[in-house]
Amino acid sequence: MDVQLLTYLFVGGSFALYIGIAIWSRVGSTKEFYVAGGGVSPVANGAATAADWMSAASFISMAGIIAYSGYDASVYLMGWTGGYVLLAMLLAPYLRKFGKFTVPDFIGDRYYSNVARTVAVICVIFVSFTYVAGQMRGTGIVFARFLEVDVDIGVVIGMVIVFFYAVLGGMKGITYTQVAQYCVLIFAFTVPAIFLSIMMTGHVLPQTGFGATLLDAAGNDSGVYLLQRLDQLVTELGFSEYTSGTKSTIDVFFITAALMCGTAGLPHVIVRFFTVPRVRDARVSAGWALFFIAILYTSAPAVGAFARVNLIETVDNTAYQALPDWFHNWENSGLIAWTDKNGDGEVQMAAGDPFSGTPAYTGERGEHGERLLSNAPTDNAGEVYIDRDIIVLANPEIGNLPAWVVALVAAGGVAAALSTAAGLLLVISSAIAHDLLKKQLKPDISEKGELLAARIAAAVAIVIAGYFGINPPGFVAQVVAFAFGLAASSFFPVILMGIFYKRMNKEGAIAGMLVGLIFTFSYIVYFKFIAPEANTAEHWWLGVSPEGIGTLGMIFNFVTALVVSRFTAPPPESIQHIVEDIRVPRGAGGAVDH
Amino acid sequence: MLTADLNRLPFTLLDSGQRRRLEAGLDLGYYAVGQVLLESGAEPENVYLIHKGEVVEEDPALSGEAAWIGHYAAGDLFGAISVLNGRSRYRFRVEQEALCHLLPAALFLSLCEGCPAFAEYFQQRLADKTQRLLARRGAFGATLAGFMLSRVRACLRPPLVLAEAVRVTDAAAALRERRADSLLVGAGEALGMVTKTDLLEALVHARVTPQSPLTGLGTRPLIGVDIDDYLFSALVTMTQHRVARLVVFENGGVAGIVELLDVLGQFSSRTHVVGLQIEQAQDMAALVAAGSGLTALVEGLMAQGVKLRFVMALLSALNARLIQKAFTFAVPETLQAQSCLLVLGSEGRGEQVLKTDQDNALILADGESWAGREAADRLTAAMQHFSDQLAQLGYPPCPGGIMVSNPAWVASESAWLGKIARWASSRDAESLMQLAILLDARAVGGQVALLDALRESLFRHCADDELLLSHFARGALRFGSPLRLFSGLRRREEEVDVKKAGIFPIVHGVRTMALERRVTVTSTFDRLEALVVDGRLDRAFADDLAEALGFFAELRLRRQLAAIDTGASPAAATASVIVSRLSGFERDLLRESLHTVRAFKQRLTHRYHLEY
Repeated sequence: MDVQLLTYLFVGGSFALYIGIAIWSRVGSTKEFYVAGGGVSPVANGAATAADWMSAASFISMAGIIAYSGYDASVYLMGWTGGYVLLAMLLAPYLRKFGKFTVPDFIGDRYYSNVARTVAVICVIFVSFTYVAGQMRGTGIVFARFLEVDVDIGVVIGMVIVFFYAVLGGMKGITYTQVAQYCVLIFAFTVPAIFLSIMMTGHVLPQTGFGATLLDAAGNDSGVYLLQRLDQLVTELGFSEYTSGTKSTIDVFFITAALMCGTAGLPHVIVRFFTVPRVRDARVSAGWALFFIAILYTSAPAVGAFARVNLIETVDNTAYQALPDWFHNWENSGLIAWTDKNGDGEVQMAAGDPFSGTPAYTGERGEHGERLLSNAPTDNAGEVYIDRDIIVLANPEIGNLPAWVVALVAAGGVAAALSTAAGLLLVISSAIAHDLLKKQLKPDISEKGELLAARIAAAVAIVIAGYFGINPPGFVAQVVAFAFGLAASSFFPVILMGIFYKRMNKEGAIAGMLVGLIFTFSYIVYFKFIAPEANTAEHWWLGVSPEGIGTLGMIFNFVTALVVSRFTAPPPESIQHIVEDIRVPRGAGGAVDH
Repeated sequence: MLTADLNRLPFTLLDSGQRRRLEAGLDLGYYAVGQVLLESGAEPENVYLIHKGEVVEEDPALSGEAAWIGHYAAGDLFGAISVLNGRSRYRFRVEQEALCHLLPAALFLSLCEGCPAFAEYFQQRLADKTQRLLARRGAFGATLAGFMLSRVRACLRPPLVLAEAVRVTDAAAALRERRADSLLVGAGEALGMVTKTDLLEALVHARVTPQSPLTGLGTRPLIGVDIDDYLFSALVTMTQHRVARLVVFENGGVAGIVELLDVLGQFSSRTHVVGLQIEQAQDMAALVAAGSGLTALVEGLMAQGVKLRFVMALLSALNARLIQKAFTFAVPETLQAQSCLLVLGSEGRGEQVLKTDQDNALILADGESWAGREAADRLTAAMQHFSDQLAQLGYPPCPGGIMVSNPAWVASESAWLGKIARWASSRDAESLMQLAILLDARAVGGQVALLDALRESLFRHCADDELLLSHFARGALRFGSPLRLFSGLRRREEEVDVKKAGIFPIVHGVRTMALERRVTVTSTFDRLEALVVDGRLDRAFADDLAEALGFFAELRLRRQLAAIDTGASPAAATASVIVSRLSGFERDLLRESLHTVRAFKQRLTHRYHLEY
């Protein structure tokens, strides 16, 4: 069977599985009516959390960024994992006790202020939009390649599917659907990684293969380490060494911190912690989730390295017409482009962009059959543009793996994008309908009206997200990084101080959020949209890149909030009591009643 | 050739000659999916009798849900009303390819002419349908119950109000003259009720002489109903308070008296007979005899077409009295004075029509010594005895052990408070179930005030905790809907478990809202009412939910009664109904009710964040 048919089968099959589980879980024949979601083990909950957590960014884009940026990309690994731990240990247990479901609800109640709630809603919408746009891009790429359509049409297909899945299907609320998604996703990620690891290094585990020596064509140990070979390959092409970074230490620190704190402030992940009823189960689930996430995160560097080696060895100095099918397929999807600068009919790789901007095809074919471009070529030797987001998806094809592995990866990519995008969409729609409309603008709105508003909000959100998916301001992982930056600079400080500092009042919180959000947003917009040509280290303030600026915004948020709260009235007694209470174990309260 | 089944209504109304004419005139037609049999406004040529397939009736002027008027399947007949009217009001469209017997309009009209009963049948259907549509579209604010039940206003007697200074002998004369049984004494707020029996007793015990004034006589406060209440709730109130007459209020003033005999005259039921038997029972044997009449009573009321929710309210009052009486027989008086007996679950909500499992619990007042081993043993023995008594009365022990013979459900007030705190904080499936059970508790015996503190604590722990409410509400989504994605019921042969598909989601969803809004009444119907007053639910939707719940409960009760007829226990009866065995009208109601449940689930999902 060919790849195309297998892909339809795998993606279709995985959907059938999710729907089947959803139906099965609703027709439960148990006699016990009250035990809702009872008997979901912490392991299953952990897997469900991991599926929510690992987005298209983790699945599709992270390994791609690692393949291209090498050591520099380690910030994503550290930041995201660290953020998860921060959330699970530092914030989630206390937020649970506050008894509010959404982040704006928590902020609105903790800071006894509708203004604070509104600012929080705006932050939620901003952060979630940015994040969901990244997911839409990822989904679009998957559909583009495997349905053999243009990436823009792929995004539209993804929009429709995500909307139905999240809003109409009601499948998001079912733990076992999420577990199934995790299984599909993790198989899809690790199977090709293991294949490649065995083929290239003889190690079964990609995690150990990453640090091992390569096998030569005959299958004997060549004595050259994978990373040695990679460093040698990339430096020959004029790139900087794979294993050494180009970012300044301060920038690495700031980006990591922004990713960490941003993760901890992401509303759709916080919500996931609330869906486990018992505190103890929630802790055990968090542990399992970390384990499940680690399986993917520790394989990613190896996948990136394998892919880069294979890519260079396959593509560099090969005649365009002699290249394997995947190269031409991805070119047709608009994610690979080649311009034959030296006219030799072969593809050359080199450091720097081969031409300015993203590919703009003229619609005509060149003498070798390549799609012609209207972009102005640059003066370096590089001739080929490869979208980094395709690395994981193309990896099995580049490595010549069997067709079913290729199909499996497609199903995994869809699973990853689907669960996260759906979660975000729900956050946006409930923030608008519940926190904004019902709680503030129109408190007398009927429940039916609120429901309708939620659906409209979700529909509008998906359209806007789709627009940004078609016109992305960066790669998936980078777009997502901005979402984290915004979350770090807006939510994280007010949530943290809301829990641990009872003197923090509404004036401080509102001022802090506004300063953090506006500063971070402006900085990013300036360097990414207004003056993208100035987006280099020497123009950056304190040498901090737009990806890491969220940390600075967060610091400003903290400082502003502390200063403002000093000079304004303390919060009411009742709020201070609540803040004290949520840090006292609940069991102590129960004992008094005895 | 296929023959139509004419051995059923309305064809059985025709004589054999007319039936032969009808049979001879029938034609057969086949229609494909989507085909319009009868356009809105068109003049119908036939009356259709479906042999196979499905047809929907819709209003082309509206779209979506609102457009939907009716649904017809094998065995149903449609188009008759259109023929009688001369044109079709709505459009009939084939939903699943259909094979229909066609009865030409001219023949149909001539049959109607020749057989008034036949014509009457369709006129009646027209009235039914109109009423149902009007009710559904909210043209009438009231529910269908309004058409079926009379109000207190309908059997009111004018009040006889006398001043306290009036002499007893004059009062007796006034009673005789007005042929009244009772009078109200006093003025304004301080009215009291004096019955003939009261006067007689006072005279016999020489507390008054015929010449003394009425001062000092009269029962206060007055027990009453509003003039616009259903007569049925008057009956419930009488049963609850064990009185034979109630004062009727209108706008805060007294409008009259409603007497038990008058109410019974309207219902001609055995309700009060059973009530009296329970009241007069002096020992368990008499109580058992009284209790055995309950099932027959239910069947009688149902046969009279009394709306189930009123039967429920009445029966729950009778059940409560039965249980309370058993409690006074089985438990020493000292214990009765220091404890509160709760009924839980559906009995607590007053939604149990037939006697099923014992679901009960006991609160012991704090500070009383039931702690010592000996005392504890005595307590356990008393509770075991009580439980055995209930079993004798026909309430089998609860298989889940939620009853007073299980020490886990007997605790002091402070121990209960501790349990509530623990359940509220651990919020696992088991705890949430316990909270739900306790939330439905109703005090029926002993010191009923003890329950208030428990309920207060329950609200304090749960009502503001959005997370807990979310976990609590999730139970309502536990069972899927038998509705297809976009339209009606699935295949006709299908069984619908009305308990899972209808009753449970409504009861649990409303329970969650009641917890959120600190509603203290326990009946789902009363909770809906309270939630409307609170502003949490809109009136129209709450009425829809109440209608739907009433309908589901009725379907379920029918299954249970059928099970009793065959000698099985009602608890063992399944709540499944087979769609094809319902009448066309009931199928419509079932479908509508399931739609209401689906809409309710969507609201719950949104409100309690269950989409995550």
